[in-house]
Amino acid sequence: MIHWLILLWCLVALPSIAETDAQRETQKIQPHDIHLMADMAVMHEGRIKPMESVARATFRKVAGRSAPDDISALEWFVAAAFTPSVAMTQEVIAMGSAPLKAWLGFADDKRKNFSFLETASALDARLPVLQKMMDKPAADQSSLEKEIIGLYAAVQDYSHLLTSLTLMLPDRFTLSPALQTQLGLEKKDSYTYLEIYRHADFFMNALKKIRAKKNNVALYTAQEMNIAQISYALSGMTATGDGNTFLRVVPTGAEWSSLWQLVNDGKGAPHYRALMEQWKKLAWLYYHHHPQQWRETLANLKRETGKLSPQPLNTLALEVFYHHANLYAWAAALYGVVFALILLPLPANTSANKPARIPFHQYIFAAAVVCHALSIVLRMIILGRPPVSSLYESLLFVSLVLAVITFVVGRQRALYMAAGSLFCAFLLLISPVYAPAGDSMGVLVAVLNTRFWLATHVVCITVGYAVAFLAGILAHLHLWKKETVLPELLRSMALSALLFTSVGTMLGGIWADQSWGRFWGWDPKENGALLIVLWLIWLLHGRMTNMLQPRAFAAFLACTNIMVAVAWLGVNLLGTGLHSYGFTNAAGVGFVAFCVAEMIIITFLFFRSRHHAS
Amino acid sequence: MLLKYLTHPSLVFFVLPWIMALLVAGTVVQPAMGIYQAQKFFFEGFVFWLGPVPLPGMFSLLVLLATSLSAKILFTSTFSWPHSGTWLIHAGALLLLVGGLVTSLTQQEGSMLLAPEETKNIFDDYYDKELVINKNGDDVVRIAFARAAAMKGDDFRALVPFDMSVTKACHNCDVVQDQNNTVRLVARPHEKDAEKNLAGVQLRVQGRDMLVVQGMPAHVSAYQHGDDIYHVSIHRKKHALPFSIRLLSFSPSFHPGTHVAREYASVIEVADGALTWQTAIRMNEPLRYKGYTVYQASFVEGDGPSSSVLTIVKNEGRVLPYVATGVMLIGFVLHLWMRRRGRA
Repeated sequence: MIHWLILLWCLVALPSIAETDAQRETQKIQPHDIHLMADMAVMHEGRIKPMESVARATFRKVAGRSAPDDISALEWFVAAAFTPSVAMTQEVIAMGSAPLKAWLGFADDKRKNFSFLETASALDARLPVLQKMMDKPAADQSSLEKEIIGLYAAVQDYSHLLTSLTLMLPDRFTLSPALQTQLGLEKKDSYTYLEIYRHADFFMNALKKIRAKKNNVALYTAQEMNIAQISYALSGMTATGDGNTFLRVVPTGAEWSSLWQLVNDGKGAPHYRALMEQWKKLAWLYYHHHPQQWRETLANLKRETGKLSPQPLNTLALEVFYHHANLYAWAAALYGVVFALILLPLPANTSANKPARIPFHQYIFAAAVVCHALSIVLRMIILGRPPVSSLYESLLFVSLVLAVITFVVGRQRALYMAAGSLFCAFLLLISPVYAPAGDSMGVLVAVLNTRFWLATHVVCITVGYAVAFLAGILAHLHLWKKETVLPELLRSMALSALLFTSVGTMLGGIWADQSWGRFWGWDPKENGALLIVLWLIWLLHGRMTNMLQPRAFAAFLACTNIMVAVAWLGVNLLGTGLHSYGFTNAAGVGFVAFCVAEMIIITFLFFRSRHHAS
Repeated sequence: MLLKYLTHPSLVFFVLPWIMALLVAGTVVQPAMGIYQAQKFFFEGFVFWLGPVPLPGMFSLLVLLATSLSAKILFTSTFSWPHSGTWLIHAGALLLLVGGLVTSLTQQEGSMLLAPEETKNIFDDYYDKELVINKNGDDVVRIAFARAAAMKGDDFRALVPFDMSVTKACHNCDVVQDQNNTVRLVARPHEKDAEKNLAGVQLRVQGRDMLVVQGMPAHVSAYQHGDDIYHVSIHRKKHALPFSIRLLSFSPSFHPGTHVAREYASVIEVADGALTWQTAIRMNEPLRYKGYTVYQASFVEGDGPSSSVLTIVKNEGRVLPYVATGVMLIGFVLHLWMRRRGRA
């Protein structure tokens, strides 16, 4: 547990940037200078990421949203590290539920966001209770307790960010000329922690002697007061820096180290020291407004870091591009445009079998598919693994497969394109719900850490989901207007869906046999996949034996969408079994809403088609 | 006539909804019931008891499907090129079901905890337990717990030279003390995590009550008969391996700066008679030898180096799902291709 109060005190004592003369305003470090830090390498949660990714993930964790209103996440991140005394009073920490606020004593406060200062003080006063909550096994924690622990983790990360560079921020310590001479320091107005921390023992001993002589602070001379303050500040900062591994920017091996670790663990090799000096210089330039030199130093720092890194750093810029381009949003928007273009100008009674009047939408659809595919390819390059390893990624991938098949099979048919684009847009739009902590592109737990099975089983089963969805969508269209989709096509689609889902499920069994020692274990995710397979087998046999008339077959095939939703997303809500990697709480409501809506729509379509038939 | 009904596709149409219903129910109750219990109740019986009403259980339905598939493949569907795809798909499905049957009949599954430099050639079953009677330090009687639970005095007469019978048995027990200071066994509901169940029996030995619960120290249930000292205990059933395993080292490796494991690996030495060799077991890379498959399951942290927990499985039907997957894949591809050609 961090002693927040020590930390707060250390931060308060830091200076803010000197606002001297007006002419300097033009020479200040501008946002575009800050953004040069975007592709700076940081080891974060097991992977080397550009600072852009770390900033986004941290802001999401602290503030519960993707970016601040007025500045970018990166600007917020850099400002927090370089000017913590300013950042600590800014109201960014998201204070979720009313019970949480009440627990922290903010019951009557209407604000949604609180400053670090307020939150940390409130948490500090409740540390013993908090500790008890954290000692409980996760299964026994109430939802409020989970929220409190989540807040604590976020505030802890934030505190580590705030103190990540304090050891080299300038203007921290002012020493009297006598002390400067006594310690043999270069004559300066002020010093950083780094410049004087080696003399910590001197200050401690001096303070001890003073205390032995005088037991009342009021009697201290100016010199003695100076010594006392420096002594407290040094030990306080050392305590907050101890264990601060947040901003790992120094490649000291596969693990990388934070700047505090370099000092505390005594990793003083000359090349690390050189990097440290560059960071110190960067901090000084930030405080004293030298944009030109800031840019040069930063470029130099990145180059030197790259030279020392044991891992290649060649995808950092790509990852920054990935964040900025936000290709999924573009793809979702373009799918939406396609849908609008097709449906809006055309009334429902236009024959959809005719080639579309506006072939223009095909280009837009193609552009959407390109954006969509490109972003998945970028992910694969950045992460160096096959496209699907989490629920969130499966949504991105399934919608791409859906889009590609729609384009290949149905680009001549406006109605297919409309349905396909609507569904793709829908899947892309709901995907963030399944990445509640943001898309941090995390590392994989051991059992998933296998490219072969991710590439075979997972891809096969997700393609199966996509084809099953497509079969379901076509069945909707068939019910809506019989002649748009021939029954033969419905059967082919159901059969193809069965191929991918059954083979995918069996490959999953083989993977399970390889890693857990059993082919089949009746785990919820396995049962879900089996449910789709059995459902499709049932449908096909029902149709074959005429037990299901064509219209009933179409209606049940349309229900395949619900089955897929159950197998793919629904079983994760059960939160049990070996497969439950995608923990989702808020997603439950959306899932139930989808199923209910589908049932209503299908029932409506079924009776409507019966009416038309008679 | 029977053959016609048995092989007609509508059989599948009528059987599957019931299987799907069992599947959904057995999945939904898992968080409340625990995976092992849910599996036993919904997926493993020949009869499914809905309250007092007996309904066909999953095993019966699967056997019915397997019989139907075999009859279809053997008698009614003649192999021809245009139907080769469907034939193969059905053959693959049958292979899967047969694989499941062989697995449920022959599978041994258990775990082995190995400290560094420790050598073992036995492993503990995950679920099956046994009652062991030890005489002067030697195990003289081993009986499967399920059988021991039903044993009467006569059954023990051939095994021990004194009167002994089981008066009470439970698969998950508590020991309670009543007002008269006598302790007795009380059955508890099954744990969600089946491995946490503690089996126990209450014995009557020469007119005296004796309690034996899994994990209890052996001396508690000691009985002296003449010069001989007997201990009764309940253990997880032990299986012997035809080879031994020595743990040379265990190393979890983590993603840098996190507690997320990237990989677990046990470096082991396998000894079979005079033959010894070294190998490593990792996640997704088990050791296969003499019909046994040894997996990296987990590890136990201690003061010194961590101990490794290995899962050991013997399953005669292990290959069948692999073959079935291949057969079905080929079947599907052929079938779809034939359909395309048929339409063209």
